[in-house]
Amino acid sequence: MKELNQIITQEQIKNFNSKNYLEQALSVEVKQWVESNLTNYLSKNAENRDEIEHIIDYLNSPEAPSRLQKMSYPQAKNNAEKWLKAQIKQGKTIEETAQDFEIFLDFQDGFKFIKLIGEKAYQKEGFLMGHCVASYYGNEKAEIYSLRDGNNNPHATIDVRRHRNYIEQVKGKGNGSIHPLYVNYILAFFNKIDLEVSSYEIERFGYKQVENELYQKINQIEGLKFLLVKDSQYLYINSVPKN
Amino acid sequence: MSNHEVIKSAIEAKNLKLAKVLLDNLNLDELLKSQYSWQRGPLKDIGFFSSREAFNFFINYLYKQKKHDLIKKFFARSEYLDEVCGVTNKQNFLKLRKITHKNWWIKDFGGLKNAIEHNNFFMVKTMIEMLESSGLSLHISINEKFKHCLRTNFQDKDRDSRILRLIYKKASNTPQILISDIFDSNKYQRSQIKERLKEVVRFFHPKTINNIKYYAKQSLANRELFFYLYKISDKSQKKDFFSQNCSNGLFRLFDNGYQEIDSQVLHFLLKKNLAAVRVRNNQNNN
Repeated sequence: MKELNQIITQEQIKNFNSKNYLEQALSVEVKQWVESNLTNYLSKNAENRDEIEHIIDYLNSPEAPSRLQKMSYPQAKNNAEKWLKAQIKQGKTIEETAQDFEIFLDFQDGFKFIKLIGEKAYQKEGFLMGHCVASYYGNEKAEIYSLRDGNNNPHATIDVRRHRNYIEQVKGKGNGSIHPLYVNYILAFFNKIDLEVSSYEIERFGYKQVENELYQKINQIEGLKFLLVKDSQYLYINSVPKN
Repeated sequence: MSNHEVIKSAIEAKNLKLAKVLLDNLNLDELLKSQYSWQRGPLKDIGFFSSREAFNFFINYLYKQKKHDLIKKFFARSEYLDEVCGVTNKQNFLKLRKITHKNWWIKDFGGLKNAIEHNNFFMVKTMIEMLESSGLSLHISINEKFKHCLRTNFQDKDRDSRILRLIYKKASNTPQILISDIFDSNKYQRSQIKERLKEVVRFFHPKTINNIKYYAKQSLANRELFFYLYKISDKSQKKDFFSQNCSNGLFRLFDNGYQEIDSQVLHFLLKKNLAAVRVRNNQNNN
């Protein structure tokens, strides 16, 4: 599975737009932090979308200080990392019942995708994954799925918006990337649910969208690996053509 | 989504086999279409200059496909060959050299800077030869403006040591530039400065360090660094440590408590510098 290393280039995420993050910010204080502190930081540093989303989750949490004006990006990052560790510790004590989730896709090797239903399932997922999914409980527009291992530990969280026929987000721990070990499970999930996924989410797994004309020319070449999602074709960028 | 991005991703993943397959199945003229030769956007979009491997792969590919028109378009009439100096190998330099004007390679030292920064020994040597044959003295030319590329090369874990040795041979102020960069760049944490300085001293073994008094003054609060500077300074410089000028920080401390100073450094300066203090006090009293 080593070849499934992700390729996230600066270019893929170079177009910083604070609007993306402002939508995620839940309070005026966090919005101000995004507009001033984050914008200043990104005027001199490269944007790391996963890291920023994780920081904003922390800033939205009750554990963050109420006044954020003086919190620099590196301080916020450091605090967010500590917060994630504490969350995971706390999450281990939450017990879900059978009513809190339903199995969506069972891989028969211990791994399965479950759909979160009860509040405890949302809380456990949020705590163990270190993101703000718990705040999605009660949001009728969002369906949340979790990849669980044989010990019921989560490894990926997927946010599905059926009303838009769209997979909104695919997140690893702390809003980070998905570990290469779990990529094939996610791809199987995409196939089963059969909804649109943003190319950004798929490209995080090392795939790159190719235009149809090019795809038609190269799809028969031995050694090349493709992923077809709805009407789009993705080429696995580490696949090596034979001959 | 664009064909450029797919090729660039393959290049960044160092998957040249895939990049070749993609190029084979695309129309190169269409892919690299641009109105003017100096608009190298399409080349950059496919990662042409992203690494030495990438550049030489693309140039070789274009030659193999007999796309001489494209090579000429982007390189033969271009005055901007700086970035090429960072990434080209000998073979491709010689090929491109035949179709370009000599002066375009050495314009504003940009090529040499890029070659140093990208750890390209062959091109550093070549650019130095070209610059010297044009009558330019490297001793004068390699100045503070070279800070960035010298620092990048020096910090490169895979650096080709021959590059900095060659530069040092031509411009003896090279270690001084690197040292002044360590103290001026605000790039390093306090604890890192001594280690960086040690590395420079270990690599170049400079006979003397210019402006050591200035650096010592900046290090009054950093005990380890201050004593290291004292240790590596030569005999005459050691005397300078106790001159009135050098202990300026000390006097400032007495005057208005302005500058932070380490207690051991203070003790050292007081012990060794009583005479200077006395002179200063006398001046104040008068």
